[in-house]
Amino acid sequence: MATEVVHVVDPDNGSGADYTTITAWEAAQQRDLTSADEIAVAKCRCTGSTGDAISIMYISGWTTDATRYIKIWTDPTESYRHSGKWSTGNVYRIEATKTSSSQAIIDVQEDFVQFVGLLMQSDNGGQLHAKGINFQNSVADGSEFLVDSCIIRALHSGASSYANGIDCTYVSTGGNRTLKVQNTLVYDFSESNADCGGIVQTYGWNVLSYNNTVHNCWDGIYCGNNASNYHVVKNCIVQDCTETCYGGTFHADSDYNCSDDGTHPGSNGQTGEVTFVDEANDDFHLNSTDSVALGNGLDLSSDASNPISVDIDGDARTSWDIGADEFLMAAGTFYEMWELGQAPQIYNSEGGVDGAMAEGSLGDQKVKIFVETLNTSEQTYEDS
Amino acid sequence: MQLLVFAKDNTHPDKTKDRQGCYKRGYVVAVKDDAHTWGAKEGLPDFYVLKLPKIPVSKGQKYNEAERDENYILYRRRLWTVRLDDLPTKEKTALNKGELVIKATALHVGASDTDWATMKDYFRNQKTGLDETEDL
Repeated sequence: MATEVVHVVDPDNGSGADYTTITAWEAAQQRDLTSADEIAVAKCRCTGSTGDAISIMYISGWTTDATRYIKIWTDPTESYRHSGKWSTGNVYRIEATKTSSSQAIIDVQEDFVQFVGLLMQSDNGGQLHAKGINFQNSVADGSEFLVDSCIIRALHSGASSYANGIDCTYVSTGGNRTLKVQNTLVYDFSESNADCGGIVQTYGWNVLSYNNTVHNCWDGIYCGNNASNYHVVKNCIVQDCTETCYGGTFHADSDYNCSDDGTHPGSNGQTGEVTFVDEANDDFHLNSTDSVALGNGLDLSSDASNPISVDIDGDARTSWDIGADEFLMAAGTFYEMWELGQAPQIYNSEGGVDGAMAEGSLGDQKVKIFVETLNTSEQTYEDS
Repeated sequence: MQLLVFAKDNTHPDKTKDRQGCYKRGYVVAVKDDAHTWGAKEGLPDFYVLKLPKIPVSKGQKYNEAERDENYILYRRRLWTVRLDDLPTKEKTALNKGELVIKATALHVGASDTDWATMKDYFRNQKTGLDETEDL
């Protein structure tokens, strides 16, 4: 079994820091992981409040395989991971300001790479084709990648076509590279001319997009090739996109997605406006009053291709909401429940419906529930 | 500003990947401001630090750029390289301690090991083969 070689990246150079920027880690650790029988791990921290300012990070010049790979992440047992929305302060984040055209935040040229729990920001600096994570077509057939619980946002000005949040580069020779994107939030890749996308698949790539939220992109989630390859989309929210929420023809297994334009693939989806906690300020956690995404997802804990069990915050998924976030009630909080024309529902501690509060219609009255204590084993509450 | 410069040669058996991806001795890896403190492994044996006090980070960014082809594909990990092994003895001796302080503006009144007029001749554009002629 390969040995994990862990180094700490901390832009504030706090106690235990090996490197103060992810690019220095990549330069110093670049090697043949297969002959070393090692997994190269960058454990990212932010002990002060400094972002990791870069222009572009290439991951290139390594040798990897399925069991000896590159992993860049924030350890959820530490305090430097985001809380499901863009944050500053003591949260590790890559802040990329582009200096020329066609730069990504991270340009991946190696075959087995994982990104977990990272914040990434693309400031295009006025440049064209600014991307988030770009998976190059030079990676080998059979290569595999993971983007899990990441937030990728654009701060783009002017026209910047082909500015995709997560982009799989077209492979002229085809083949089967695999990308899994899960519990990830992508937003604002929405420049004024076309062909900007949130999560984009094309020829040579098979993509599994599970429980992601994409907001305010030109195209939300895109399938560019469904003949030789596929894009399976499950439990994804796409909202407020310019051209289409879901573009192309997705794999037949795609289901339980939602959109606000009716383009979501699958027969068990939802059309409507999802109610987020604070959409105007890019907090895309689900609001307790939402009726589109809450509880309407598919249980993917036993998915044959890519089982998942937690959300972007690391919370256990039990009621299976659509999107990156799984709604959880918090003790000591009031929740307002709308059920227009229906009996208001009592929700359990995980946000799932636990039963009707009363028989018959209560019209559009608002029901406020105060959760005094949580008892997840019995799912009972004191109310007021 | 401070330039973090790679001190060794990484290699890959694939010649294309070696050129495109591998950091070589003399490649700038990061550019930070004067106040930045480096991590425990951002020094010898992997890195040197070139300090250019009172010079803004933006002036050093070009030395940290990759060389890309006309289709924006990565051609070489860095367009510029610092010819560390060609430095004069005085600069090389100072650098062997891990860092070199370069006076590049009159605004810097503290101690220095050398100046930019000397050092710019050792910053080479690998595409043109020409050394730097510009002041910071």
